[in-house]
Amino acid sequence: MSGVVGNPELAIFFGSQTGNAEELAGNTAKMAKKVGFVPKVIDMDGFNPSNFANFKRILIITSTWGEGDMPDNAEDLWIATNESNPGLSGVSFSVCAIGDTSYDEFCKAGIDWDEKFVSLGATRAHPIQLCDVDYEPEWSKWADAVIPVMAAIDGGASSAESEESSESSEEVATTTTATISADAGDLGEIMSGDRSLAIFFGSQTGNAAGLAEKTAKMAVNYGLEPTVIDMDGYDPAAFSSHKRILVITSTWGEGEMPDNADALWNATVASNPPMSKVHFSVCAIGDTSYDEFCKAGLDWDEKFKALGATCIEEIKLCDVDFEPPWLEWAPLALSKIACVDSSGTFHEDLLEAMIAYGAGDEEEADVGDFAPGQIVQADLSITMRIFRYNPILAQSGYDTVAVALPGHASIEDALVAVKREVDGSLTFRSGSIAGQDPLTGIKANGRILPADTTRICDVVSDGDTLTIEPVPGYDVVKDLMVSYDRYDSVRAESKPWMEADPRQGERLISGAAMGTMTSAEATHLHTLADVGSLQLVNAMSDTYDVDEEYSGPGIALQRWVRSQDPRSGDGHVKQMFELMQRKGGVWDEADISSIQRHGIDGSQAADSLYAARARLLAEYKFTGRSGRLVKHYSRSVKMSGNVNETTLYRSVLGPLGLGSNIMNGVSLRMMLGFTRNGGPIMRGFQGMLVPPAGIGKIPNMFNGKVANHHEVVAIFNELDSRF
Amino acid sequence: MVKYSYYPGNVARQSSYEVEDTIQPLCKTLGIDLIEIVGYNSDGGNIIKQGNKNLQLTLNARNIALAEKNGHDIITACASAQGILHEALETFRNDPIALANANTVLSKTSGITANANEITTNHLLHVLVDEIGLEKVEAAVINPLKMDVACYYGPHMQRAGACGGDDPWNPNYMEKLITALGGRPVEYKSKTSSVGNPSLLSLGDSVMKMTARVLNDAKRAGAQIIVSACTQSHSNLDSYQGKAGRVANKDTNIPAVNLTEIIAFALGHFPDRFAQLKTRALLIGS
Repeated sequence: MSGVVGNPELAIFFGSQTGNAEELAGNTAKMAKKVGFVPKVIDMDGFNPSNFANFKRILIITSTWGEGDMPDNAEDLWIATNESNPGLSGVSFSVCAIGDTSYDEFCKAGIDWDEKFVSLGATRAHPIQLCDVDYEPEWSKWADAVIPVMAAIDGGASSAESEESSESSEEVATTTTATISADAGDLGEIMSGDRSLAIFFGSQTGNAAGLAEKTAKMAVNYGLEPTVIDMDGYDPAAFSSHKRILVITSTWGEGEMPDNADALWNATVASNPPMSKVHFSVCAIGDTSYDEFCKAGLDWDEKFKALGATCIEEIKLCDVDFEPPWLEWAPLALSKIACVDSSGTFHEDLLEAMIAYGAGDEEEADVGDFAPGQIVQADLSITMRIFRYNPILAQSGYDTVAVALPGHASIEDALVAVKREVDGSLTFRSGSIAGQDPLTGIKANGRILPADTTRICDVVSDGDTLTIEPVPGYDVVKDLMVSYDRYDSVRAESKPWMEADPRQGERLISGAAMGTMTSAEATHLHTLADVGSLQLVNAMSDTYDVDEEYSGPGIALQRWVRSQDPRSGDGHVKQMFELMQRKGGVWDEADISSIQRHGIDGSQAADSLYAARARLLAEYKFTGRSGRLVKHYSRSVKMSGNVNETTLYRSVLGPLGLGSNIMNGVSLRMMLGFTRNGGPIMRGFQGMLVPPAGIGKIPNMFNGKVANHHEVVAIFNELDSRF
Repeated sequence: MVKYSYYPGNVARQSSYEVEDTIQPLCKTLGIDLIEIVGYNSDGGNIIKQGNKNLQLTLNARNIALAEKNGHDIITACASAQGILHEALETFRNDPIALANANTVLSKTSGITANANEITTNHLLHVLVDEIGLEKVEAAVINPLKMDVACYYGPHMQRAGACGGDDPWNPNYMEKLITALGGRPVEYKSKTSSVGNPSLLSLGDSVMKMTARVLNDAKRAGAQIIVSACTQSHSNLDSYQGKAGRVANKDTNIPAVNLTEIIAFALGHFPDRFAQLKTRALLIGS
């Protein structure tokens, strides 16, 4: 049953300067739709205030601009409302105001509307909500509370829509942003009362069950209240209690019912329950390579018809690639079945309006300047080279498979296709919800990527080879599946983030509670750590897989963020610094560039590594070989404008390091120019042996200063006096 | 003649003078006029950045401003320098505050400011393939390489926008160039992997293992020599290859040369050095 009393119309006005309030209005509409409202999102710009009274329920979402001013699109309406002062008795309203506490006139525009509506006789159904810069949580709280309150308010008569009302609706329509193009008045007629929809699935492997779930989600957009029902254990006598039924079923073996549907089928055939008041449609999944293609679905379709049910949309037969035909069937079947009212009557005249209503989300996406990206990409014929590892035989190698796929398919889609059609033993991690699993990483043509959210067309072009390997740095379990134990065990070394701190409960002089942070700080902190997968960030490093003690840049990023969290106590920050400074920490990364080039996540991790190193150098005063390197490299550039390698080697390596180079033959190779193709040996010889301030026979190339060297010195003096 | 402001990088005029020896004649042969950036300074090697990001940015702003004064795009033969210069330019183009801060210091200390939108920065490899053209290079070859060559790019310039029209992840410009020079390019796995040069002096075994990985991959793929587009990384691949092999317990023995050297040799410069290289390739190459 719809939870909305009377006319389901709900007007949502937005006053927006940057689009935030408009976005919230759209989101509020979506939420309202789910409980049975027919929401209208209305731009304040150009609205006639005398039409406010045409609505029984009004929500206002507005930002405040500058020093307490209305946003540009609301200014005219505000002036006109104050001039005309329309009577609003009978109107229930609530306001969500967005603002910024750093301004004196916080949320003034919203407060003004709230007070104005009350003064015009409107009833404040729910208190005004004031939202700061991080407005979403407060808005969400308000929307969750206000929608049920509004639903309980009687929206008045919905039928026939009085002459006055239809006139005003037309007028309003010219000023809305057309979130919903359907005529709400017409649909209002069938949107109230019983809106239940039964979606039965007969499923052997889970595909039909999955489609049933997806269909149920889609059904909400048509104002339906879906229930997904497993055929197993269902009593066929209860079929007649439904007015709307969708059946989604696969066929098993040689035209048989799937296991969970077998008993219901037999019982239905035996009992022949009457279904004269039922409207239905069937989506059948099968395999054209079998003689009895989609037989189970066809059987249900015929049986329901024979029992007197009305087929509202012709049965859809789907082959192995079942999603595209299902996607054709579902919107048609749902829009038709949604036009069946609570008495079981089909309103064909409302079908067009219902199709538009159900497609409301897509239309909304097209509103304004936003242009959706190209989703469908051309088919690609590529060669996939997939790394295989058999742990039992300890054998590894590559399988090569030629595949043709739509370019917009994900890499995971391609792997699933190979597993399904070529080799069922192929093993890889699969994300249960795309984009939500940080562990679906693979190495695709050298790039570390999440397989579930990376489109093939973004990695290769038609005719290319796509080499897929397990992410480096982790032990391979089988094929593309790796163990992330290494990551987990290092991560466990950092104690829980929110451990109790002695400052708990104390307050700053300003009165602010310790352990809290401002929204600006929160935003900064979230930005620092905004990467899809810390495990994959580790794999982006070229050092991680050669140094077993290195905790990796993902861990470093996490520790750096913790150290920057204003809620972290001093002890915790110190612990983070120590973990980053010691062996295995941030200095073990040999080349940050190898991480930086891995897209946004890599760049984010690299920035944090640089920031962490800069902070640690200050904290630990350039100690250790890495600290000495930065100090002496910088000093060398300051002293000459260029890098003086002679001083650098000596200063950073120290006598022991130089000795090691001599013993290892490095110095000899340098001196002799062993592979330097005829360069004068003396150059290297002199460079290695003579210290820079030594006996004065150093060639210019080692000691020369760049022209206008004083400018370089001045830059150092301006920016960093430590060198 | 096409003109470029020449940035030698941190070591071409220091320990890797062979780069300076060879880039000048090869550019003359191919019609590239290298205009000196008078008073250029170190780009910071991403090491100064570890201590002070703004300091490294400002040092690069000075080089950019000097090159703008020359009025020509920058060319360098070092992948590391190309990566750092490109990143600085991108930062200044996308962050006007960073540019303004750098210019405030530059104006005060050097009397110049950078615009960052007037010039581009390019590696020699991309200039040869994208602008000069491989046909012209091929036509100028006097001593074809006739060797199996592994091309090493490193990671520093392998990012979108920094490597001309080449693919950052699966580059092939150097292979095409080697073919034009009469050599036989060899495909191997780690041609864009890092050898850890920025930490050559501060880290021990891991840098040696990274170096050994590249050298061993190249050797196993059948290369007789390895050519580096990164002057900095060449130091790891060459001077440290013995130590790398011992630390990683891998065969790493292979002649390693800079890209400028191998081009110059093929174009007929330093035939004595080329002969020496060929002898070494025969003796120690795979």
